[in-house]
Amino acid sequence: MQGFLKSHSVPGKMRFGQYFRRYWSLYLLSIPGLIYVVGYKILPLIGLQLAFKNFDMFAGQGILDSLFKSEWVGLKHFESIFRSRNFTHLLANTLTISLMKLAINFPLAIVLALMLNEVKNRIFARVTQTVVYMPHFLSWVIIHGIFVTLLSSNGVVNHTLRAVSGKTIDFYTNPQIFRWLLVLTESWKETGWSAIVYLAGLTAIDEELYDAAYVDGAGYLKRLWHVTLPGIIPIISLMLLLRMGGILGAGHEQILVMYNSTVYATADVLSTYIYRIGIGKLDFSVATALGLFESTVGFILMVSCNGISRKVLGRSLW
Amino acid sequence: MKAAAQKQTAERVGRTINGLLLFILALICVLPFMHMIAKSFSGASAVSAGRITFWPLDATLNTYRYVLQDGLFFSSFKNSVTITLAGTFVALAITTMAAYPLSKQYFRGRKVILMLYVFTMLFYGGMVSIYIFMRSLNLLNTLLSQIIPLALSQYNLFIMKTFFEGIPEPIEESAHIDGAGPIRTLVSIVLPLSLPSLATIALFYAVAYWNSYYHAMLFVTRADVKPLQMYLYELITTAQNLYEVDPVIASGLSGGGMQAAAIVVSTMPILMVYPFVQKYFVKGLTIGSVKG
Amino acid sequence: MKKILALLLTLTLLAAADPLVDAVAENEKPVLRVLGTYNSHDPNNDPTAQAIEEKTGYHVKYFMLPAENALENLLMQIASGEQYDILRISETMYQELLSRNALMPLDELLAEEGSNLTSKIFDSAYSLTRLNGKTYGIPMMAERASITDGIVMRKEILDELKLGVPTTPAELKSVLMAVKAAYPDMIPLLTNDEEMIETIASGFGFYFDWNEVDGKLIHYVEMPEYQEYLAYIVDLYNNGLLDADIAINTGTTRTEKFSSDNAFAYTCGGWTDAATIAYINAFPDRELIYLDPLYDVNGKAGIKRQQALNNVSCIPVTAANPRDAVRFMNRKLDDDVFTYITIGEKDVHFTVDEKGNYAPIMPIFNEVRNNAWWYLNSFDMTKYGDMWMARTRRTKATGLIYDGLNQHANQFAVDNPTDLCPTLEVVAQNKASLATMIHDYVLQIIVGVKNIEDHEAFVQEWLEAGGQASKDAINEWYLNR
Repeated sequence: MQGFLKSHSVPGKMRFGQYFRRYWSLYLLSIPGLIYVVGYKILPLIGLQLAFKNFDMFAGQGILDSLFKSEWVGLKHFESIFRSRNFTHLLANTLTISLMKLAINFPLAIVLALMLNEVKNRIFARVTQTVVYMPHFLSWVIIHGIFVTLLSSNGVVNHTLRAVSGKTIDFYTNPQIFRWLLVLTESWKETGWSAIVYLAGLTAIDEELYDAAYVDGAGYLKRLWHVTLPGIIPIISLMLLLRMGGILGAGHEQILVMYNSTVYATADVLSTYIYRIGIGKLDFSVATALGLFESTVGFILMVSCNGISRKVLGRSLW
Repeated sequence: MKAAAQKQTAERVGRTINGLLLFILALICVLPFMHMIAKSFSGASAVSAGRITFWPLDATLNTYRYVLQDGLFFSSFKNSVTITLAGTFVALAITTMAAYPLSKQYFRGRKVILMLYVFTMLFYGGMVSIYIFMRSLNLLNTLLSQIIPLALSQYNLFIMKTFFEGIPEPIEESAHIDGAGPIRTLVSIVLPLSLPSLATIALFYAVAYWNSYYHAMLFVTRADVKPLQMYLYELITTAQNLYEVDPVIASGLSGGGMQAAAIVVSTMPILMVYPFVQKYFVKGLTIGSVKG
Repeated sequence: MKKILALLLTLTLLAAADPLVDAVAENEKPVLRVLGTYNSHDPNNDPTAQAIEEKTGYHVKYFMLPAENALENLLMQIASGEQYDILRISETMYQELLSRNALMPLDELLAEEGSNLTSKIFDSAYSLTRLNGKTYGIPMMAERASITDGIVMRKEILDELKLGVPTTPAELKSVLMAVKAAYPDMIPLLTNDEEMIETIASGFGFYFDWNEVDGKLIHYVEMPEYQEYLAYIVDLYNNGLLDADIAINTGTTRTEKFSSDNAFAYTCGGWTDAATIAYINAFPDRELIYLDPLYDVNGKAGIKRQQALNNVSCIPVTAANPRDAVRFMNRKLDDDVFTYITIGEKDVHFTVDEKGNYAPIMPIFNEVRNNAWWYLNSFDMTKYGDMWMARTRRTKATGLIYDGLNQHANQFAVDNPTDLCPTLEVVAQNKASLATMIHDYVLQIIVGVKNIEDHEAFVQEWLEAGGQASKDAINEWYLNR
């Protein structure tokens, strides 16, 4: 046993040659992932130079050559981005939608988990869970297809509203309401799925703690406050930090599928704008510059939140 | 005694209300989908008039007959199945292999490789570069061009890594004593212990592959390699062509009903599968995020 | 690391080299690669594709652009050297490629291999695809100069409510109001292209994108008349006379609404308009009124007669077989070949009566030639107008719509001043983005997110985004034409 510990548990002290002879297969295992990440993710980063160039697609022989042959313009695109009124507006929209989703959908998942945790009938619990996970498996294209028929002016919802109140709601064209539509369709899709993690945390809480509290005469709220929440607060914090790290992503795919030009004022976010500039106006340089900005800020946020989480909670994504 | 009885009643009432609320929430989750199903089985005039709620009117199977007859639907369905199966397999293999070394604290170079994955999670070269990539490898208009972009998700990689870290050291150590190298340990000890995690990650990848259309939009110009979601996207956004293709057949059907049928058919495979792997992914997700 | 380096090297090598292969023996026919715009059929599995191979001897592989973001996808493909021999694309796409020097001049090849292409297509058509005296594309004009936009109204409701056919914007509004009052659940006017509904625009005195004012061309956004038009449309919307879902409608939802008794009037976009066809098929016993363009305050009315390019077939500089591509297109215009691939065999798929009227034989015609239009590069401009009637009449509905839209063409049709404008580089570059800009703006005005008082600001924005440059270029051509 002694000998084993010496040779196996302190590989950190070996010389690399010796280490490599024993653990070469760890490197072998890493190769496919590395090839992938270097080939498909790192190599294409040469495309980022577009942000500092005036891209002319037909400048050279083939598109790669054009990429290199286009003229350098320094920080011109960044300057024009930061100066434009659009930029602050897009940033504001991005943060607003992100924070709205955070404020509503984040607690909602916790509440759902708490509710599911209280169900004692196992069949009912199982069926309810299966059902609330369902929307997660639908793509945004399909979800949009479903909701647009439900919520258009002659859809079921407005039919009912008209019959009851004589009024209808323009879910898709009223800029203020549309934001709520974004938030609530995401609640619909993801709340059940996000609850899984908390639910697991809840079932891990020691039953004895509850029994003790119960004997002490603690009511539901008291138990919630003193036993339940402390039990899952680490997971909540971790999830919160992870979400904060991704705050610049307001739901690109969702918005792109669901929005229309009448709600640009409130629903156009950084990533959708990048997409429209790149594709609609074929201005790949500005789109790349914006994307680079988004990536950089996102990266800093993500890394710092992960760091904080590791320091404070001892848990992290990586 | 009386107080305790009161409390019990209160708890029972609370529980009933809770159950009711959950029932309503569950309804909210299924009703929109029920509406789609009802629509897909309804007659054209009822659909067009917006009379459908949650059950079919003038029930018909014509929509399904038409959708399933459409050669393009069939080929895109087949493509999506291929992409999903092959893609999930490849992605799962790459992810497992990459995650295992990273879960070992003594793996030298771990930090560098980890940073590489973190970095590429947020930085990407943009549309033009990945287009050049596919074009250079002559992969445009292939199923492979739809498999590659999703073949490794860093997020899944990190979850996987955390799973592996959660496997107690001594179990693996005993394999080491028997002289097994890392690969044999992974295959014969670690993987069998990680089935829930593997199932979870496989499900994640499968859902991602099944639902993706963005890359196809960039890389595909031949009808016979389109995936199902692209077919659907075109059907939902530009379905007017339906009437040009065959005005005679189309006149008896409604575009809305047809869309609904296509949506139902295309989501069925996933909806049929996930309840059966539910117990795995609940467990899998849990380990991944609770253990740190 | 070696593997990674090797991959890197392969990548760069592959990307850098795009050899031009044009060395095919004279008598050996290469496989041609043809890229076309989106349509929901499988182009490689269509009877027309087989007919073309059978008659020309060329095996062709067909590719299709996606329905969404087609232009961007096309540019990426061509810029990256994807090899196609023929691109059959829209005018906007053609001009975009042309302005980026991505197309091959065809004059020499046409002189050597294109006897049909040069004799059967008018030179006036070629003038539209020329840039600086060189021909880069085979033009396919609209089959006949015909009216392609109009408003259709349901006659039985007009009759029931004892309403006359409206002839001015004010009358139109009161008719729609009356319908709204009688049928509150019905959409009075369902629209397709709200930025300029031609029938209504006529009531405000303009008919085209570019209108002649005092010898110069100006775009409608700059005309004071357009503000009046917009105010009118906004007023219709605010009174609930337009569809509340105007911003989220798709082709399908419009078709759905019109063909299911949910709308009274509809802006029909041509004889293949899906919604109108669906309506006629759903209610064969009812009658539709085709509105004449509305009269403006000066008692004038008019509507654009479409004579412009339908699409263009061109050859990218990277094409492997340009000579065969021209030969192939030329062969498709041989009289017998052309007839066969377009409308099939006489007395099997179509008939011609003693007066020379063509008519399809149904349903066989649709089964074998329904998608034939997708494969046409161009047509014999002296003869096809008549033959084409067999295609417009392939269903009762398409024929009815065609006749309806053109019923008073002699009285109202006006030729578009920019119909014969050749490709202008600046215009081409800005065309798509300017159109999107107007489209987005008009929707925002209609639903009230933007205010019509800010119209001047929008015009300014439009001018700066390329409107001014386009205007200058178009006027330079117009004055020197």
